[in-house]
Amino acid sequence: MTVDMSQFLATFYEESFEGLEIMESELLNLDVGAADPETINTIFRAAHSIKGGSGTFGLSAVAAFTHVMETLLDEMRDGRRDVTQQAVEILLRSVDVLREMLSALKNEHSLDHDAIASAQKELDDLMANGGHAAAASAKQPQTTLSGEPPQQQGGAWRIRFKPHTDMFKSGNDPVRMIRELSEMGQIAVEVDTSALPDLDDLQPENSYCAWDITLQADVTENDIREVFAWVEDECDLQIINTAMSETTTAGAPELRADVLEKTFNAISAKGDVLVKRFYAELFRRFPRIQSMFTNTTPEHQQAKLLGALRLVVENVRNPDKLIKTLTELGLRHQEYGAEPVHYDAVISTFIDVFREVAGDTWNDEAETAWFDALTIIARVMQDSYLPDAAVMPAESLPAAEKLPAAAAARQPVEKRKSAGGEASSIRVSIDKVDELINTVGELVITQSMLGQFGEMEELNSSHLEKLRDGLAQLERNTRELQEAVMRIRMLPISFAFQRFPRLVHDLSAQLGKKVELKMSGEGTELDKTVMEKIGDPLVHLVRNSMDHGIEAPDVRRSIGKSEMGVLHLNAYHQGGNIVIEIIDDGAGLNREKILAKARKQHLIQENETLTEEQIGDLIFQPGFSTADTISDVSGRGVGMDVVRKNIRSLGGTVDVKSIEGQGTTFTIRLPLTLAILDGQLIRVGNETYIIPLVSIVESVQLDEKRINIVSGRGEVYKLRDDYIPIVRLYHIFAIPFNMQDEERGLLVVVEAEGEKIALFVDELLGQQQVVIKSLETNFRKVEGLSGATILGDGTVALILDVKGLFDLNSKVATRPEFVFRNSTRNRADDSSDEPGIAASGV
Amino acid sequence: MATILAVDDSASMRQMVTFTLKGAGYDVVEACDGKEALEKAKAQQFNLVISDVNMPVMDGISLIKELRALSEYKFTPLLMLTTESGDDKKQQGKSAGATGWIVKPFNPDQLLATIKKVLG
Repeated sequence: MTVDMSQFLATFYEESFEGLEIMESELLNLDVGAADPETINTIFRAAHSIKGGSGTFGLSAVAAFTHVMETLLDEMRDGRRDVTQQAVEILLRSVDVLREMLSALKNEHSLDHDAIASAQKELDDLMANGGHAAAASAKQPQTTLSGEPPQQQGGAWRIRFKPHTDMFKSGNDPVRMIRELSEMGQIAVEVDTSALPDLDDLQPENSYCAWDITLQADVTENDIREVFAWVEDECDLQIINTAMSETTTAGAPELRADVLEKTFNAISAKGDVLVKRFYAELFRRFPRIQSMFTNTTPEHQQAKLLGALRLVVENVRNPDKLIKTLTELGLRHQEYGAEPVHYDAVISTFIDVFREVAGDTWNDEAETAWFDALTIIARVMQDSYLPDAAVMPAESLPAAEKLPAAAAARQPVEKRKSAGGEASSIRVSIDKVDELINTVGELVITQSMLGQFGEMEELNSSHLEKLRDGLAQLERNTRELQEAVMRIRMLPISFAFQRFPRLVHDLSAQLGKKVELKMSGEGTELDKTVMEKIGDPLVHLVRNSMDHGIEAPDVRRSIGKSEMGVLHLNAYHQGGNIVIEIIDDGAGLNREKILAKARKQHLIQENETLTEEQIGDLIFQPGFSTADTISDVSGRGVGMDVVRKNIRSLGGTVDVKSIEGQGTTFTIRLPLTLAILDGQLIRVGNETYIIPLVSIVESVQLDEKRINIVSGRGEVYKLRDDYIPIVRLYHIFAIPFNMQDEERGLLVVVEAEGEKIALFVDELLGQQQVVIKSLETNFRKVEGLSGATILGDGTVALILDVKGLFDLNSKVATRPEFVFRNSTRNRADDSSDEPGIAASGV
Repeated sequence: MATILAVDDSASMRQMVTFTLKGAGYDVVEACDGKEALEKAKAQQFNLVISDVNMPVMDGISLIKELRALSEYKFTPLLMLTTESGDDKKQQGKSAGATGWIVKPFNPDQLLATIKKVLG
């Protein structure tokens, strides 16, 4: 059976990213010194799941990396290792690396092997020390150093299998094992019932029999033991190879510690020569092997080999440690792409070079000892290999995994868009689904009730009454269904908040500040799409508050504040909006500094007085920063304007309130969903359009005298002190122009990104919430339109994209045929230098 | 055909196990922790239970202990998914009453071979 493993990868990635979030937040929760075992267990489980999954789904790089993390956490969990701050930091960094690895694999980018290697080294170093004494003898893979004896591979076996009395109670059945043996070859089974008691004494749940089995099969003793592996403690088992007629124990190659130590010490002064000669010889004999060493220098590689040799010789009497080291070494060599043939090449070359370098101290005994040792080492290393790609259909592997690691190692991490549309999924709580099913159930009841009327010959007044009730019920059901479906897309804001503990933790360290993060209202729900887009602006505001808002500990102490600053993230619903607040108890906005800076940058006039609100607004101006020194964190003058732009593009607003010396509050208001919008319906000719309500500033009756023509810029409308470009929707959407409408026309002033335009419309109709249907998916993208909706009477109304209209306007405004017919008399002279227009930023 | 209860807190592993077993014609019911598994096992008799060890709420070892104590599951094969380094987990599982184990990482063929071996 071949199963395409790639179909599970999407789920695996999703849950792994969730696991990483959990690891990160729990690591941050971890009380160094007095760690809560349940917390460590939660972290361990997350690492464990990622490791298990990555191994199963063929992501061996991830599996190898998480292996060390898992081992560390396991030791912490069992109390064999202390939870130190250093360990927590290293684990946090490993989480980052792992996240990078997973997203690289997910998007089929190549892995950043340098970052992985350095994180791996940190983990290895941590692993190598700090564990309690008991750690060294910790569980090891089941490999014995004396090696599995060379397996006797005889044709004839005699097996005596005597289950203990209670073997059935573990759900095991002798029939199963005998059946399995019978699949290996010719089998003859005899039951020994001599132990059966009298029927009166017989306990039917106990096992009394024993089996004598003769098996003719070309198998090893281990193959047979494997059959009984599950019950090895629940039975007496004897396996005799009748062909050899002796039990299999002797004849294993052993590590001759004394010989190895003696010979290695004898040449220790020439260690450098040995490894240098070894690589020269290896590459001479097997030129192709050289390509596996491209991401290292010869010197580095030689030093590594010498280190590994020393480690082996030093630990030859300490098999536990040796196996552990070799296992990790093996995993890494699997990464490098080392195959059995490579091990053979290394062994033969090494022996020859050793003989050459050792000179007189070499003899047959030494050669045998080293050959056996290297053979065992190679086997242990290869035993540690994770089941790899070979068992999976190759095409199911992400491209990055298929590349030989060594060849890929030096490739820069390329950033490219993930192939195809990202299949995003959403987790929905059962409650919401149940609610949906309930609502649909009610809808079905209403439908069957209404269905009755269709079968009636004629309707009398009591029927009509019921029909009306039914329709009212249908309306309610429909509305409830719509709301229930919308709620599916709603996620608690904790998804966006959960990255902040880590961010605040890291930034505090970086900035040398003490900050306590408080979060409230994490359960407040908002649309998934909005959530994804609000993350970056939030990060920026938090960084800003940490950098500019909260003061350094000594400053805080000197003004009588607690050294620990407080940063509070709060979220709640208000009307159809979600409000997110970022509150700090820092210095607040420095009025004077902002004003001085604004004057310097000519954002305001020298003597202009501003309200608090306007001052707050200044910090959202492009290029505005009051940071004295530009820090890594913020203060590069990009950001706050981008924050506002992003929030506005979601149909939201951001503003700031501040009390000097006491703190700053940023308040973000966002619509709960992007799927529904509050719209103003307008009429142009016979068409109905919808303008998003948030972008409308005001609507005015058209006064022809206020229209001016600016050459190269089309028409502008003088509204108070502003000159606002006029956009004629007639022109843009090519609607037949009706002379009379002009007299009665209205201008709707809309704003986007700080610019205003006036839309010329015939009539304002109602305001209503509309469900947005994508034009792109149903038709194609149309400039100036953001979507469409279906009105109550079934007609389609197009939704205007205000930002798009700006761009569209600048294209068509200069075309002469669109110039307003009778406004030539107001035509201003070439007004490219007119101050009013320049100031309006058109 | 036999009905199997697959218990794992990892959705991708559950998917893989279920997909593989269903593909081989078994009926599969999923549970994402020991507690849920126990409830489902009480509501319906399964021919085999295959469970991860490390899970929130109730781990695999406790699940096996609880199941084995039920008369309906006295002789039912209960398999656990362990990792290669999980020798003491194997021991704990065995003394809790586990029938045997499957070592992670495993591939669908290994899984099926083991299940077939147990269910015959």
